[in-house]
Amino acid sequence: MYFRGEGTRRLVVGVYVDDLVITGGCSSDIDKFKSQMRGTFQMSDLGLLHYYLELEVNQSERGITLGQKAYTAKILENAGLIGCNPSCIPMEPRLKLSKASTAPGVDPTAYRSIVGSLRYLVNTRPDLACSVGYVSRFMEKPTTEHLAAVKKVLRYVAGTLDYGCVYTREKEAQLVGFSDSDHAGDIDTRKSTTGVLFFHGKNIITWQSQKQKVVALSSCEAEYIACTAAACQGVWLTRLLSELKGKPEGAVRIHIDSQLAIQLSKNPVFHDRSKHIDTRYHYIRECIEEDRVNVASVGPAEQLADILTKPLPRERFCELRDKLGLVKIK
Amino acid sequence: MDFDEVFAPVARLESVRLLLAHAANEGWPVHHMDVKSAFLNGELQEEVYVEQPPGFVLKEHEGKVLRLVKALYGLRQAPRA
Repeated sequence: MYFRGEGTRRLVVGVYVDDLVITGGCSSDIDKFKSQMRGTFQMSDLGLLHYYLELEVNQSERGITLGQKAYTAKILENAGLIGCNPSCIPMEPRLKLSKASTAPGVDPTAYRSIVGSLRYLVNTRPDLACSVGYVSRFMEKPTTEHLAAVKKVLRYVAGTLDYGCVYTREKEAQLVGFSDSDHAGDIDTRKSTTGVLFFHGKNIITWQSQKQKVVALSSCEAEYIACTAAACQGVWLTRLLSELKGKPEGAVRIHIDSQLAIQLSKNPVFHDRSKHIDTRYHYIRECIEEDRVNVASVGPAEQLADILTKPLPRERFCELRDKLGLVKIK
Repeated sequence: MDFDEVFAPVARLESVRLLLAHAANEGWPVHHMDVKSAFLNGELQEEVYVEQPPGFVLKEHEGKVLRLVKALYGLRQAPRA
């Protein structure tokens, strides 16, 4: 990303190999930049952004939408699931799969290809992050059980083809994060899953659902590891946003639903239950001390990152999907 | 051959989403441009030689090779040249 100018004359350019995305407050500055670029390189001017790296972008007075309908249809076609019976959720709650499944094996290449294409779809679909992350754990030696879980995801996708993110105008938008974790959800390793989510105002920016790298001995520790992941992401986003705006951003707030993890993040006292936690996970303390991050408590019902840590029952899943701001794009 | 660094400088999609959200917030339009044959624009810093392509061999210099000035598709250095 490159920047120039200030205030309403701010010009921002994002570069992806040979694709340039240009935005700014002054349209004559944009035109000037474009003609400078044309003078230096052979460029095609594609006008307003509407298609970028398989992302369909729509700009209107009401805001910007981001979807992958055509790409999704292509995935379903490749998987031979066009016209299948849609499902309301991407994964059954309480579904537990193991790497050591004794069911008959399936073609690993086909499995990896479908899961790989679903992973790219997660770029506009936070509702899929958890289920796609889960089926990705079985790439090495997939069986019919694992493939059945992938098909469930695909059947959910088939019913939600035109869902995507929407970005609307909002005054005084702040970066807000959520971090959550399950505990020992992976039955092969007993590792937990981190869920981290960031909004800019009401607009959802980033999400991650990731198996933790170490075994957490308690749910508090798992939550603590998750909130450190959130702190890393939050610090990076704050830096990027202040570059975009051309002025410094304040501390980013992260919502956590574990009181113990909050205490642990603020209190530099070590006791028997926390003394084993690896130094790297105490990064959150440093961030809080330096006032780059602050943590706030949130009730379990309002913990939006819940959707990234485990498969949820239909009602809760749809409630959170709405709260993330995921909508059907017209 | 020393490949040096061969990564390509690319934007993460997370940054693109933040850029779009910020543009939506400010009510800014987002434009799109594309470089034609981006790989052919890069100036090479290393010495890279190619054989003369069939049909384009210079008379009386048949045994010689050509030195590349700009990057070509398929070159390991091309993505960041």
